[in-house]
Amino acid sequence: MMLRHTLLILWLVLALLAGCSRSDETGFETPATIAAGTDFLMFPNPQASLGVGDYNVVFSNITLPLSPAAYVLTVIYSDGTSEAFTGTWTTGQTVTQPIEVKRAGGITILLNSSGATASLTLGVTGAASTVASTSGVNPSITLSRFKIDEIAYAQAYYQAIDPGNNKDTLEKWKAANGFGACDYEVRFRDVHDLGYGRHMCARRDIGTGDIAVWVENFQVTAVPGQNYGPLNLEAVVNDDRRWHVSTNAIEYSPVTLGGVKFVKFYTFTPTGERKLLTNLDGRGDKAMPTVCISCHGGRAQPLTAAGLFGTIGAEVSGNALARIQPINVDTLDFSSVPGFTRGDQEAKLKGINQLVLCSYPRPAPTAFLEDACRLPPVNNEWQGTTAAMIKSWYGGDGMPNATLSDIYMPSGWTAGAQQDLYRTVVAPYCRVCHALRGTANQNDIDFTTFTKFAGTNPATGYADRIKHHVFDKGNMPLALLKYNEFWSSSAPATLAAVIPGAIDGSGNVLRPTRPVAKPGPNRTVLTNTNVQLSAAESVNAVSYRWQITGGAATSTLTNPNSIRPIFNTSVAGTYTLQLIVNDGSTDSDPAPLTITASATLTPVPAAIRFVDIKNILQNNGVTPTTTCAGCHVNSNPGGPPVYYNNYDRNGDGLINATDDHQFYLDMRARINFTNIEASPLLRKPSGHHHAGGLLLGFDIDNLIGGNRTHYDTFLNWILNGAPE
Amino acid sequence: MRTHDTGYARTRARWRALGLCFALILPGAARAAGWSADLGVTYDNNVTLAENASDILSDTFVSTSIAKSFSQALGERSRLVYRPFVLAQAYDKYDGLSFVAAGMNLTYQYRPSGAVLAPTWSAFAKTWVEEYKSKFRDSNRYSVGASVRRVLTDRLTFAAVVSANGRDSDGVVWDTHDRSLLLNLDYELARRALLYATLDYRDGDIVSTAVPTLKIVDAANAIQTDDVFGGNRLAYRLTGHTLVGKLGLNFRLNETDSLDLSAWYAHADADGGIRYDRTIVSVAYLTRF
Repeated sequence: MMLRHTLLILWLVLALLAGCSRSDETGFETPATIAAGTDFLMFPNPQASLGVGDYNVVFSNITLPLSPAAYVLTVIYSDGTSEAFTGTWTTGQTVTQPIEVKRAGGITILLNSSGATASLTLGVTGAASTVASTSGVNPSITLSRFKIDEIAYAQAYYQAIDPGNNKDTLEKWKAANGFGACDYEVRFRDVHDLGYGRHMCARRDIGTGDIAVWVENFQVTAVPGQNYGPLNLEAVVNDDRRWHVSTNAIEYSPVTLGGVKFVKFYTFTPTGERKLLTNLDGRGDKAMPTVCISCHGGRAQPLTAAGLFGTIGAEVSGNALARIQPINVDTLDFSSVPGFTRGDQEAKLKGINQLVLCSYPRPAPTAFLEDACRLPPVNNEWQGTTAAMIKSWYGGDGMPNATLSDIYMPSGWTAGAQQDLYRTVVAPYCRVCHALRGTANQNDIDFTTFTKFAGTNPATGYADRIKHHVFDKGNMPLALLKYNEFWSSSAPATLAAVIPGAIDGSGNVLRPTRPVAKPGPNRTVLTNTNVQLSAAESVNAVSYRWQITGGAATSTLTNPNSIRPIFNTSVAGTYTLQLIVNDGSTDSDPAPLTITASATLTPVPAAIRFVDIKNILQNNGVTPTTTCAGCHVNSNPGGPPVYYNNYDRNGDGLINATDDHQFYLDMRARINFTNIEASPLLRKPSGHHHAGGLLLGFDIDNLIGGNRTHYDTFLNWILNGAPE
Repeated sequence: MRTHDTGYARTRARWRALGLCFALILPGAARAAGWSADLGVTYDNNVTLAENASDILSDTFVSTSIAKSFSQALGERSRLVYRPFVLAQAYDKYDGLSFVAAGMNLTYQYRPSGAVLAPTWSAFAKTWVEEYKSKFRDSNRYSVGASVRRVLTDRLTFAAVVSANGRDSDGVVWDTHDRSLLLNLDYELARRALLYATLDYRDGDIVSTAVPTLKIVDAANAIQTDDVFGGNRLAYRLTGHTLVGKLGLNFRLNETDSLDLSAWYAHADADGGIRYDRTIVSVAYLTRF
């Protein structure tokens, strides 16, 4: 009897504790407010390796000891899809495998050649030139999703700014920049930027005027969802090293003694090793310096053909035209611990802002002491109004006030609603990154006037792009913290009130979590030719519905429920189509696409090559008096920092085919394969924020007669993968 | 994320399992003793078990329980006692703390002789299921241990209990383990009045709810949201020890009923220098039938 009961009791305990074991939840949830695939701290043109299109993978069997043998070709796309192709081959055999890239990005191609030495080539279908090639046993090709976000990019950057590799640790970097004591040392939390607790130390070399700043980042990651919260302030004030996650460092100095000073970025591990990648917002690693310069006013030029960090205009390699951000003390979080209060640190922060001011160009000499350290601008260097903003924070010229007060209002924002818009939207959510952008001769992007910001004239205003980036795609505000803050505030409604199309028919502000149909730019095509359309730029789309809504009845649409349907017509004329996408539960609003079909197009779209693009850039009269290359010429360093003339691009003393290839790569860098109509190569000559205005043959808005011949040539080249 | 449907289904499964256990065991048990029940009101000045004043919250709850004992003689000096029970607590302000529980306590008792002063040695295993209004606190709990109870004089009785306790919950913070040493002294003040004092030392996991600070975050073994208290407060599981002192007066009203007044004071010391204090005052009506 006793045994029976004991066994029963044991069974009871086991039944309850094992059979009814509990799930462990933490209750922390990630709000689903970000569009799928959004990349923060990334340029709007992320330099995708491949555009949407048809490509050929060609592989040849060079040597095979035993034949025939099996091969396996595996293709992995950066959208996560993959496919494999198998077959057998023998020595000397070449196989061509067509593939379809449905979304702009990168690719990995793996060939299991069964021991054979093989060549492997990727190229645009129909083009003789190759995108990439290699050879060997089991050869592979990897093209990163974004050319400015890969390890090789960061390696090339450090090689450019630290050619002697003398700063590969924080200690070496500090030594190279003369750090003993700091000129100014502060601790705070940057509530509205990256959310870190930050321990900042800055100094300026009296002799050279070089500036160096290091910042230890403290991030408490123990509480899911609160990685950027107030605990980070406690951690930095307590110097709790377990939460010291990285150290960033910035220099304003030349690479070689006596050279042009520019801003350089480094990041180090907590133990002081230099990092190639860093994860600033918890959404994955990104390459240096892209993750920094995307919000420091920089430009990201892909690597050169030789694998070097690209040059911008006449600048030295490594100069990404980025700037040091000023510190808006009003937006920081301070501790109440003595020594770390705002009051205790205000003078030091002012000192740091003075150093930042020293790194900005001074267009003309002034009598004010704070400007004495500033250098004259170089080439077409950005000048902006940030220097004026810093001064205004401290009472204007002379910076008489000890305490920062952010009442800055650029003169281009006139009274009333505009100033309210500036205060509640532009200053908190846009200004930090945009104020440092632009060049001396084209600075619409700095948003220092209402017209530049919300102007509906696409030649000078950015209302159309704001609609795209904020309300459709959702990749701005550019930093995740800012993004979440923005969408938790009343700012979207304030902004939507001045941005056409940002409010739906029910009066609600559009949010980027909805499905958005993007059928690509209106285009001109050839009759009796298959034209592959693309919905790849759509947002939050998992299914697609294309429909012809106007034009001759002879037109056809093959695979209308696919991301890349085929349009064909035998009759010249104008056709209208619409695209509706669905996110799995909700239809998007229909988006229109206009196709103009022509019986004759010269050159034929599929045959357009870089030589045709170059010919337009260099030889066609794009204004009555000049060509593109008339301004964009390397002998004009005060002009735009993109050159269309033939010159020694790789610095080897020769002007030859190698330079022409680099010319091609430089132009390819002006294509945004993730948002084709936003490509500078299309937007600038068509009169959007172009110091040269609208050019002949690029009149997509029908402002000077509607001739868009050159635009269509450029566009069809890009849509065909921009073959060389 | 658990849905309500799933939660209810799991709750029903647990109760069915418990019922099945009772059904299997109890028919084999021998003599049934009487029922016991209680109804009480308790004030707790720190239901969050928090350190900082801004996090300390108080509440009052009503509790009731009913239990029935079954005794199985195993020989002249030993027996098994089965004691299924049901318990419920309803909180006034923080409704998420309200729960119902049901379980079984099995005790093996051994008494070396029938002498009045002979000690009673026991080994026990107790398991029960708690269903809270809070979705994270639902738990399976167990306690195993040993005790000794001995009459010291005609007025004084001493007891000591050592136990190991565990809790498997739906929220990671409430997955806890601890060990306890409890000492109790009963003193019969008068024919109807019993004064008792208890000292309980617990070593193991402690749960606290508070607005996050670096101090508590650094010390916590687990952190999660707390759906009861709001105000950006999170729940933390800490390692530490707790000392609980309890003083009570049991006033017998008649042969079956009594009134019980008690006051508890608990002091906890957790890793990272985190401390909290808690005072509980309770009045309860106890009956047997």
